[in-house]
Amino acid sequence: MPFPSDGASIRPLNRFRAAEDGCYPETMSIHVLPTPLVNKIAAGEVVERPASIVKELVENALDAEAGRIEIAVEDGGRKAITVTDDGIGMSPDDLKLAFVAHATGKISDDEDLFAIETMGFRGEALASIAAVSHAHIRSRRRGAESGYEVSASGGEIAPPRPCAASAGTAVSIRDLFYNTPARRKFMRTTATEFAHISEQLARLALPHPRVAFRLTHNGRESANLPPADSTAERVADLFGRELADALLPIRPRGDGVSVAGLLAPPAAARSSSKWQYCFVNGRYIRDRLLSHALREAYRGRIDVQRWPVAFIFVEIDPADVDVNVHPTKIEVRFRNGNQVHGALLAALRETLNRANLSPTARLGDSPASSEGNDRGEPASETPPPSSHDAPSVEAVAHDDNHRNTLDDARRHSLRQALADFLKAAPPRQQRLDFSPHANQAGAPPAGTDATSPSTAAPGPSGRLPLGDLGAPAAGHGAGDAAAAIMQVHNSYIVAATDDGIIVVDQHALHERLLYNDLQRRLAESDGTKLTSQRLLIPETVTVAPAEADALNRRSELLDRLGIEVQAFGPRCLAVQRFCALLAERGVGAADFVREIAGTLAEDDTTNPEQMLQRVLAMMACKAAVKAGEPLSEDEMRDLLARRREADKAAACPHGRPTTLTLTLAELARQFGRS
Amino acid sequence: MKVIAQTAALQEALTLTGQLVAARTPKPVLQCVKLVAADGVLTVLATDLEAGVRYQLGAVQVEQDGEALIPAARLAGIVRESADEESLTIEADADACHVRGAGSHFKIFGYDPGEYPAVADFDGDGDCRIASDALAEMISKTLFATAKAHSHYAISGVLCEVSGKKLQLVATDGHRLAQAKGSLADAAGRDVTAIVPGKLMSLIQRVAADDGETLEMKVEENQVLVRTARAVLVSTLVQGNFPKYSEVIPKEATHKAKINTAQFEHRVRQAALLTNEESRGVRLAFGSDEVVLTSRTPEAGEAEVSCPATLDGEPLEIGFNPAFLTDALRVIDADEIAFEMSASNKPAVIKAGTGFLYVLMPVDLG
Ligand SMILES: Nc1ncnc2c1ncn2[C@@H]1O[C@H](COP(=O)(O)OP(=O)(O)OP(=O)(O)O)[C@@H](O)[C@H]1O
Ligand SMILES: [Mg+2]
Repeated sequence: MPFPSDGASIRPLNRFRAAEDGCYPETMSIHVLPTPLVNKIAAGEVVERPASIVKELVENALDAEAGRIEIAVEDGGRKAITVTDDGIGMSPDDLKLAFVAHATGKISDDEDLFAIETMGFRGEALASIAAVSHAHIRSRRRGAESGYEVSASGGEIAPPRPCAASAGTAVSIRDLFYNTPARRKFMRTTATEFAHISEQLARLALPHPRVAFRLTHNGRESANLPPADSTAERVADLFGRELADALLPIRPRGDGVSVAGLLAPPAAARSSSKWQYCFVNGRYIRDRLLSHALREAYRGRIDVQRWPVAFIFVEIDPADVDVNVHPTKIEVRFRNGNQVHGALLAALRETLNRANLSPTARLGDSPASSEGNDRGEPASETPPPSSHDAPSVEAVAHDDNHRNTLDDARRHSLRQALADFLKAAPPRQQRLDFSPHANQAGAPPAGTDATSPSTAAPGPSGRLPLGDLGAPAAGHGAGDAAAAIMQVHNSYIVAATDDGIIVVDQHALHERLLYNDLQRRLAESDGTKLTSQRLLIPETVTVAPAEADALNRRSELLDRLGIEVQAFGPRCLAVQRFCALLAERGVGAADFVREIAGTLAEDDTTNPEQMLQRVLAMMACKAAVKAGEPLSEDEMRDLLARRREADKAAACPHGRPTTLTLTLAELARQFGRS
Repeated sequence: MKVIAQTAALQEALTLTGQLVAARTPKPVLQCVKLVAADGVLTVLATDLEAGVRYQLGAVQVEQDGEALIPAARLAGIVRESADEESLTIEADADACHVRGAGSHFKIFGYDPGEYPAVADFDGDGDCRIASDALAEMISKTLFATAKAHSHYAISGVLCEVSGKKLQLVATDGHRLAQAKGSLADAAGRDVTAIVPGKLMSLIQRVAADDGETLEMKVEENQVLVRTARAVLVSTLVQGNFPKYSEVIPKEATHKAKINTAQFEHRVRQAALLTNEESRGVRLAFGSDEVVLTSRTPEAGEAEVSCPATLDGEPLEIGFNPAFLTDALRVIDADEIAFEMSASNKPAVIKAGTGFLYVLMPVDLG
């Protein structure tokens, strides 16, 4: 036996044997449960929600070699789910056993269990489902004259009867959980349950591109996936061309573990991990090892808050993977996890390195431009930090691929900012000027001794001359300490206050201020909406069906935000109006709507008010000045003035601080003056 | 290489070429300018791999032909701080570059000139010729409307259409669209349609504005070249499709107002004072003889200003982002504009002078 027979991995099998043979381990002194009750318990594990039923039924259809599978759902699957296939079908004898627990034509002994090639193997699903619903199967075997039907209700099975049927099988499940009120209560809204079904469809359809799928909800078509020649085509049908075209193919590797699939470039990363589709031998799974490999491969290429989009297909000898560790088979156990992790990581890295991730149009033939890429490195590699070069934070802030390093860079450059500030503004005692011209110069700026004339010239970005900062708040009276102000690294505002200095994160502060303003505007009265800019040329955006649904459901929220989208073909939306604040700040309407859609689809548990706050925070973040944006002196003063007005400005909506304060006392202590 | 160059001319050359020297780049050679001395001329080259410039300096004396690749910021700094010198001598050998003035000597370490990317030259005839100041004006009337960063349409550039004796520039960011029409010096060799990156347009503007002459333009497969008396500018074109702009220009209007440009701009700025960053919007109420502009910020206050206007049509209220109005009003030199609208949720059109047209979408004030 290839696996150590620890109890967990063969647990369902033990139960199976026990039930069928009618003999129980001697140590167990429990009585035999009536079969329907056993199944009801099992149903709790297999059938979590309508989407689980879709999964089990479609898997059965795939096991039956179907070429075309139709899924019809009513009321989010709560009322009815029908899955129709054109597979091999079932004989009357099969039908007799279909609803019987642990009756399966797919495996017959222990050995089989460790070399599973079909999706189903426990013979548990239909029995479990029938225990908690009204189930009906109509089927005709390929080549057979007539069809048969069988139904079961709460586990009571009626004998098969002949009926008219087309070749293949149609399984209908009605009134899910009708006999388990406690579980019925756990079902969510129609929209939520249907969103889960849509998601389930993607998980089933991706590894089977050649099989056609159609999903309808209350009679309306929600997805129609024609047979496709490649996974990429299937991705295009499911999630849109835009994403499919950006994908980088993973070159198949075959050393023991074969890894294939498609990766999206770092720029396409999403705010949720659900865009990571991992399949092992055609089965959608969640696995810590695999997601770890993904995170590892994208490390340094995307923000830590974002997740790469990936479609990964691992093929492995069925004997080397145990799929029987979780009732819904969503988890697996690898015999040699390290090998799988290593193979995947290598394949992912190779794919990302191979791709030129920063496509820049190039002028003519340039020896310089070929450099970076021949080494197989992305051209957008962060420049090595060096003391005299441009500060690394600026390079980083301008490169979306490197947003994850921003935090480090922020920290680094904050330290740098302080150092610069202290260099530029030496304590007053040091500013005694013994030059013979000191007195006749008279005018305040002449006192800017510490810096050379060249640094006193206004910088190209309108930065303040460093010299001004050293001057004793010239012309404003010594009390007006706020007059000393500068921007460092185009990211931080450093200003003197009455009792020390403050360092302000310009993005964090502006974000906070905007967030407050937006909140206040919407709180003004019940019906207030944000100013909305109409688009001259509507922007189109492709979203997943679940996302389109989510946008639909929250159309009222969008309206308050000044956003209007209209359906524009399948999965395609056109943005007609967009929040004026974002429009003016040059935020792409399509990108923003896609992001909101992702956030909304991901979680619909939050109440509308909380969701509004979340989206406002997103808006504020997008609209705020970025780290690396040069600010004029006026802009800086304006920001600082508003900082005093604004309550809660001490932290940005993400909870990061906006301001650091360094008191004179602290400075004195640091310099050993106390 | 050895040249003696007039300091002022050198500074001008370095300021212009400096526009294309990347401040932040992992490749040190891209932070350089390349100097090429040959045929009695010094050419300063710079490129950021998308756009490039070759600037010719006549005010030089070439002692020895050759090339040098020198960090641009260093050289520019030295030249700027040598303004008191009439001329500077630049001499480069394999090891370093020497800049000498009357009482100064700087030695700068450069790079191998062979490592610098090629910058295309303008060979042969152009597709069309146009007075440089006319082109500069057309650019200023359109460039502001380009998208700052846009992923969906190729509208981060200016659409440039040459046909017969006509040149037309169009720019849009999806909210508004600016169109300027002008005439060429003579009929174009062939018709051309190309999307020129905003960066090159502003570079042309810089070169053209102080250059009362005719410049030549040529579009090749994926690049555009411009030749002035002293410089050749080159850039890759923006790839992609420009939106079908003619479809979004309203063909007719039911409300037509005539307004004094300067007064109107002034009023819009005033009204904008009481808008808020998060809710930019000014309401325009057009009556038979005036337009009343109002704005309001809940926590700050309200503004109401008016401006004479003659309206042909029923009164109408419509909201706009004041910045989108002033952007256009600022570049119009005609005294009067025609403001044409059909509804508060339909695009409005500003027409001024000959050949300028601006379409802008209204805002819905919440
Ligand atoms: N669509 C179908 N076409 C043909 N046969 C089917 C179909 N659905 C179910 N069957 C038959 O009914 C049996 C029971 O299905 P069920 O889903 O309960 O168990 P399983 O697929 O064998 O195992 P698992 O519980 O792991 O899904 C299957 O083994 C198969 O023989
Ligand atoms: Mg099954």
